[in-house]
Amino acid sequence: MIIHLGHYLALSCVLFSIGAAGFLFRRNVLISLMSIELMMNAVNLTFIAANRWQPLVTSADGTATAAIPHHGHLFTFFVIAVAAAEAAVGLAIVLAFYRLRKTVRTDAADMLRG
Amino acid sequence: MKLNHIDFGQLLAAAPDHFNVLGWIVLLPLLGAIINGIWGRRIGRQGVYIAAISAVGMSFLLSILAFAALLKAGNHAAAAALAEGHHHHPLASLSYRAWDWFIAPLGPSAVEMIPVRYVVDPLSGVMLLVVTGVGTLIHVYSAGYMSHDPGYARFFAYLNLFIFAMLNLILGDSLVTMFLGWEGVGLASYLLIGFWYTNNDYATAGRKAFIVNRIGDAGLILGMTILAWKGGSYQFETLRQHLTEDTFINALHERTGLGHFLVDAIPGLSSSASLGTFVGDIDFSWGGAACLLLFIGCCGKSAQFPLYVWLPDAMAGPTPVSALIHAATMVTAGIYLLCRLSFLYTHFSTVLSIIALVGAFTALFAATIAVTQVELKKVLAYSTVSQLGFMFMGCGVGAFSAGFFHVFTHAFFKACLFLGAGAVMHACGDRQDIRQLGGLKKYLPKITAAMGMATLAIIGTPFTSGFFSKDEILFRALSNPFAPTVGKIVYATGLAAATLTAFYMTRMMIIAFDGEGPRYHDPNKVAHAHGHDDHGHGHGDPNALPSEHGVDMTLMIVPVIILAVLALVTGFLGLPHFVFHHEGILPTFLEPAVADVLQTRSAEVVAHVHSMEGVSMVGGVLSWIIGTGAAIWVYKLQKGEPADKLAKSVPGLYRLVFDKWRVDELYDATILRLTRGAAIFAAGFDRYAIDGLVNLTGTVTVGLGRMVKPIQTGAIQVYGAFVAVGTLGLVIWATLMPAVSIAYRPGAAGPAILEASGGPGYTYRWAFYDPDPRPEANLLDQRCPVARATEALTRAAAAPGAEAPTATTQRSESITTPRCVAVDATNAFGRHVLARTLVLPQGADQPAANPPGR
Amino acid sequence: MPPASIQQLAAFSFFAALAVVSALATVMMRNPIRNAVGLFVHVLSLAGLYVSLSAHFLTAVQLIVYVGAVVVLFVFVIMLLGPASEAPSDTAGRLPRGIGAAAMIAAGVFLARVVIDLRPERVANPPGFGTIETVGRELFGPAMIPFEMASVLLTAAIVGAFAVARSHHGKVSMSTGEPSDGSSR
Repeated sequence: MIIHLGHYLALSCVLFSIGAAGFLFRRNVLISLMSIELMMNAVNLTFIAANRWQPLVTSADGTATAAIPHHGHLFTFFVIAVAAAEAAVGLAIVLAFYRLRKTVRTDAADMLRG
Repeated sequence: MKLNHIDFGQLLAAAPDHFNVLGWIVLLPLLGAIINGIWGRRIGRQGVYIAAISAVGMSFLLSILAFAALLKAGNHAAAAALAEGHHHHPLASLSYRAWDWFIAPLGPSAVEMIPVRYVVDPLSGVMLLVVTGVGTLIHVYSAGYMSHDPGYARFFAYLNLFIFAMLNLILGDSLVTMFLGWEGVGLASYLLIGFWYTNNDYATAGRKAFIVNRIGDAGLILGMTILAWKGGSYQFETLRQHLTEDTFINALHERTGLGHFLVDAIPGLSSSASLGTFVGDIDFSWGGAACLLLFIGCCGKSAQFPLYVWLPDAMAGPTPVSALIHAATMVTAGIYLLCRLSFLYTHFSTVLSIIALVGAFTALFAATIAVTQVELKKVLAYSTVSQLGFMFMGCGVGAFSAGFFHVFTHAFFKACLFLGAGAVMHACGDRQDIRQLGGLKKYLPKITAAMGMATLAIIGTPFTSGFFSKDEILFRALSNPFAPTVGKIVYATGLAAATLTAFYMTRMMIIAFDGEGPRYHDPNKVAHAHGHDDHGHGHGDPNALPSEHGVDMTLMIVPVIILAVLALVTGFLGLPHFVFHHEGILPTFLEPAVADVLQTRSAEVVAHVHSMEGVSMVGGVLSWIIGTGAAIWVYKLQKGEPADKLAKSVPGLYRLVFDKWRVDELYDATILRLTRGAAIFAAGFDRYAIDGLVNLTGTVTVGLGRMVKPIQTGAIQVYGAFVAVGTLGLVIWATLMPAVSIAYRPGAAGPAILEASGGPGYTYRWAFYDPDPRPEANLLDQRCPVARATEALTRAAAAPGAEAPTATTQRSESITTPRCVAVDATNAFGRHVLARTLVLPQGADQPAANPPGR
Repeated sequence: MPPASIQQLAAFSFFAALAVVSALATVMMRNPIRNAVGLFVHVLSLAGLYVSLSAHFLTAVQLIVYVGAVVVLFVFVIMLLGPASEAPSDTAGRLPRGIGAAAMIAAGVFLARVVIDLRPERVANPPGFGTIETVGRELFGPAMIPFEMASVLLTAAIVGAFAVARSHHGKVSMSTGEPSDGSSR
């Protein structure tokens, strides 16, 4: 059996859905943030896997090249940067929220409710 | 002249549509209007005056240039025609195509590019000179007349706007551009009638003019569209070409549905000999309907019965407006349109007879009203309606150039009369009731002389312009070749109207200008010590005696005198045929542009027509003598006693005529009441039915909001649950439902690219095979049952030399012969979900793209 | 079966199983420290998968940023909050959340079943694919502007994190109208 793009994508589907389910089910803000990290990692996996199987452009002299061969890698790099920023701000919000409500339960954050 | 060395005609023939002088002629008044409309208050009266007059004046100078170029081009064309052995007069025209405007549908299956294109030919050339020439004179006059008005800039902006619209109307080469100008002059007319909008009556008069014109315009639009549909074009020149082709002539003569109904319902209608000889050949054709509907539009614009009611009220506007718009130019647009389309109208003699009868009736009807009116401008207004009737008589008996000749002469004498009346009002403290005036010849000698000259013209004094143009119309009516009875009726009516014209104009002149002195002037009330030496008085002291001194009066008198001289002499451009055995200059010039029923008649008929001219002229001169003589006897010799006696002996009739036959009251009682009733009903319908519906939607929305309110819990994870369920649904839909499209893009050199695309997880099987001999099997792009595609795939596999079905998601194929392709799609769960067959025609353009299959 | 494929299969199976199990641990454990450890293992296993995909540079970035920064940050916050970081039981209002989670799992599995059949042709690695040099050349070449903007983003995130997490002792909370150190719940 040869490992194919489909396997990586299927894996990342499963990982993403675990992360999403965790985000939806757990009421601990910390675990919600971790679930978000899980989802982002799943997405990164699809980028890198798809980059590995990217179709190449055949140029005039017959050599197959890609204009920018690491599109997926670059995108993943930026996703990681955003994830790091998100973690920093998110955890800061958790601290502020805890200071305000003395809890980390998500259902305590309902002040916008009409 | 240097110009003579240039072969002008050849130059212009080499570059058609590039005669951009026409563009400037049209554009300059618009620029004037924009400048005065936007910066009018800032640039001061002097600036306004310079901007407005230079715009129109330059336009006039360029018009002269354009006219000279047209004459050159005409000579060139005539010489060219003669060289080829033709003796007819070719139609010369110069045009300027500004830009392509839009593509207009002509009917169910044809379209036409409508350009913004201006054309000057003999007809529009003459009209162009009249409009810009008279327009310039009236601008000069207005500078004096409006000198004390606070709305000075606004007035000139409107006036320039009017000139711009009018030039669009006369120079536009298609019904569409003409319509643009047609509505533009209507707008300018509305704005200027209601110029003093703080006076409610004046504002109402403006609205009345606008609304009555809308009624006519409805007919105009319908006529235009029918003409475009059956005649195959909106453009005059193309229409003229089409009228020489049998297909379009037959289409125009096709009987309408209503015509079929009438002919079937009324036995003997189509074959009625007496009716046929009365009004000409009856055909209930589309072309006739178009002509009649266009004539309704002309009735509105040119104030013919029953749509004339707005014109007398339009005298609410400043007097220069009455002279320019409501006497000399705009109101003649209807006759101008008939002349433009004369090549069409000559095909529909019934419509022509209707036009002639309407014109004759209007001429007489308005003349009777004018006899009793006591206000200068009202007399002149009804006189205008009456004269417009004469012009329609001319068109209606098939002598379009005669009608247009009257437009031409009328422009001068009526503008002169109106301007003179305005000058009188300006000098006499805005009085225009002739019973209060009198003896003005002593105080306003120049104006009296000028108005006298114009009066001589309008009453048809021999050798004045009015005499020649009216005579031309009357004799053609008498000798009408296609409907003799109608012709005689029209002739008799015309004579009566001419008699009345002579009577009421002489009456007006005698009462207002003859006698001791102004009756409003009471010497005991006025301090004579001052008030005479300051210029522009009359506005200063309302009881002062009128005088011709001052800058204002000079500015006003000069145009009046120029117009008066023109009124006397322009008739010599159309000298009668029977004296000189040659057509006049103007009719000869117009001949290629304006059709005439005589053009298709035999030489005997033409000779017979011309033999009637002398007889007709005797009638014309007699009517002049009787009308003028009666007026002099009644008002000069008997000091108006017989008229008073007559009025007292039949007080009912007198009141009726004095009240303008109470037509306005009739409209009030019938049409306006009906409209008001309909409006009340509509208001109720709006309040209860429409508003009810609107409120219902509100109630439903609020109810729905109440229903879904509990879902908004504020808990983020519940919201997330909704998202998750939606995602699941989306995934299932994308996975289980096929989403496949097949695109066939014909490449430039023949190879086609076939693509099937859809959600991931699909497997496609393609098979190409030669077309099935059964015709029903090769339908183009069929969605078919799965079984059928399977069968097609099997058949493709079984066909000799065919390739086996292949399973790919994409396929590019060079197709050189017509082939069929069968596709079936299998989803990730192994179910056949979609099947299509497609026949690829060789090298054909279709199908460009197919909608996604489901 | 060529040996390379066996190695590949083995590596993929191992890291994939590890990633799934650690992800489940991350979302299911009760004690936040255990969740953090699950996340730690998860990012490590993903780094392994990256290696199997020849993404060497990103493997390094993954280890440095996630293991070295993000997970450590989580652990810091958990330590800072102490026992309070363990939220009370999740039983209340379980139904809507359960439905949502179940739908998400179902959608993921469904989609996995669909995409697992995607088998595009595998192309040969261009020379130097995924190495620091080639990725770096692109990062400082075509992706220069986004790269610089990422630095702006991180700066903003640092400032934002500081602004949000700063203590407001003695000041009145705007949202509750009470002194912010007094518990509102």
